[in-house]
Amino acid sequence: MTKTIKVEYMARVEGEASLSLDVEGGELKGLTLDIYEPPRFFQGFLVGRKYDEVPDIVARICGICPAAHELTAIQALETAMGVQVSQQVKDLRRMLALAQDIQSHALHIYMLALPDFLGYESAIAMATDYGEAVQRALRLKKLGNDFTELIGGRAVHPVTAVVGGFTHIPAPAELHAIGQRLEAAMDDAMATAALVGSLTLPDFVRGGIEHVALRHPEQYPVNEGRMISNLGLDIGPAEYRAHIREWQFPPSHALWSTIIGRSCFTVGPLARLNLNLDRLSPKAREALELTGHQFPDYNPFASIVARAVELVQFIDDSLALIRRYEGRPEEVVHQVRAGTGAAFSEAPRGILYHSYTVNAQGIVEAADIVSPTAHNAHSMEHDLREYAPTILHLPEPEIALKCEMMIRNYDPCFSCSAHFLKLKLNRSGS
Amino acid sequence: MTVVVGCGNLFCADDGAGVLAVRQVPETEGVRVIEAGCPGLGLLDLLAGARRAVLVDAVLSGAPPGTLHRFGPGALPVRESLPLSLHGVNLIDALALGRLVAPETMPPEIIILGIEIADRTPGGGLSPAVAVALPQLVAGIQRELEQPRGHVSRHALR
Repeated sequence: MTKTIKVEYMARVEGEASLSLDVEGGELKGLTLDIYEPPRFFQGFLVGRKYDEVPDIVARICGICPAAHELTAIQALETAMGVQVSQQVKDLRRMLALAQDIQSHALHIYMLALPDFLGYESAIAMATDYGEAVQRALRLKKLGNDFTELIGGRAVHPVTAVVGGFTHIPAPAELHAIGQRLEAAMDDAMATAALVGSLTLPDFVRGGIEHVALRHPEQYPVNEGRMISNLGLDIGPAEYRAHIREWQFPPSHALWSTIIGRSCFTVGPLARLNLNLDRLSPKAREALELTGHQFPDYNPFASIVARAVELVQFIDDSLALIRRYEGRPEEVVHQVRAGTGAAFSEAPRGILYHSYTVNAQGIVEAADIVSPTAHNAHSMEHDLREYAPTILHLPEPEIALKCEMMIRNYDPCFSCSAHFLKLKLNRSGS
Repeated sequence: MTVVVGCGNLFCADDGAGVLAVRQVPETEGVRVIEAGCPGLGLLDLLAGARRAVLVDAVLSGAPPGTLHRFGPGALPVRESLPLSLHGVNLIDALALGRLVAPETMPPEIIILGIEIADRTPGGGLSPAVAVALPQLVAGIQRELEQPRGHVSRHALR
């Protein structure tokens, strides 16, 4: 007999969020965005572990961005132990990160953001009317997945990247086959830019906003660069803690990032594009023009446009790296030595920071991880504080939806077990 | 081919039970075992082309911790709204989307083996009831794999 059981499937434990608005006489009196950040727990978990266990552990912090955590940890550990790597290793790492970026952006645009802008409750509801668009997303996703698996050895938690290099590298012919698929995928990426350009975005810009992204001397930033901003920040990884501080604002449990002496800041695709417009490839510039948008743009709802432009940039970048790849066998050799090292990278959702102190035996004595969501949390709340008063006249479900849309712009690394925002609207005197 | 997919976060106490269980299942001819962790929509790529899939995951249904569940995708609740981020995409969304847009790549037979969990604190270990039930979960996976090929369980037909 078939037994029907009611199963409340749990969301994966990658964090939780709740938003509470206090409204009195039609005016917003208070707003609390409470988020929960798992990376904090991993920091303590890493202390006492050997350095070579770290990449695999941090890859499990996040099911969506395993490669970003892994590569950033490896680079920080190499800085700590004074390990140098070849240009080929840097290129393979960049490709691994780009493979993940392509998947993440394709899924964000089609599965998360487009349903909002086109007025569907979910990607599944949208798929009936936009079947071809959803297929496009799945093709891009599959390509990013196969690209990740070829370099990382596994699609889910890549395993080949280690301190000092790679335990296995692909044959040039295998990468060229991916290259051919990437060339074919360019049409899908350009079609994405055109579709995104046709959307009407809510008009909202918060005054005085600080956008922060990495900046590389030649490339569009992925795994390397200095952290810069539109308000003059310009620091290397070793200077991070002298400039970025975290504060806790009760009742929220999260630690929120602030630039010392200033305020909150925004990281992510929009900040990255705004601060690196001159690093776009000709094809990506073509995509930008196709969208019809003007950049720099500080409207958080334009993040979907930035992602579409970046999708073209990431494919183009991957193709350039594949063309020059030789597949030269290299041994992974390095010394273990005591030291402290930090690194940051541009994960799909913005700057990710890792720092480690290891002793002479290679045992981790201190770990510091700040995810893009931790960088953005304070900024998300500021956006909501300014945005919410403009929509308070709407019915309650509409307010919740608009606030959710604002949060989805950031695609934060938290998801509550109830699957959607737990919105608590306390109305009085109205 | 049959794929056995362990889902969950290994470093969040009982949430990793599905991954721990599939680790004890050896790969044999025609059986691929995958420690998927939290793959989101990546699940679709892991299932693509398989004839049969056994998904092993943590479940919260109000039953006592350690209770084992066996059900087909039809028993999963329907989710109507969007998650807040891609991190919120779970097995329900992935299977629903796969059935809708890529049905030809989905395994004709999907069985979900769940284990009721108690604790999902990051950094924690398995709670006693889940640790005790884990060998039974592993035995349950083995039983699925021992079924003759072509046998479609009635649970999975829904």
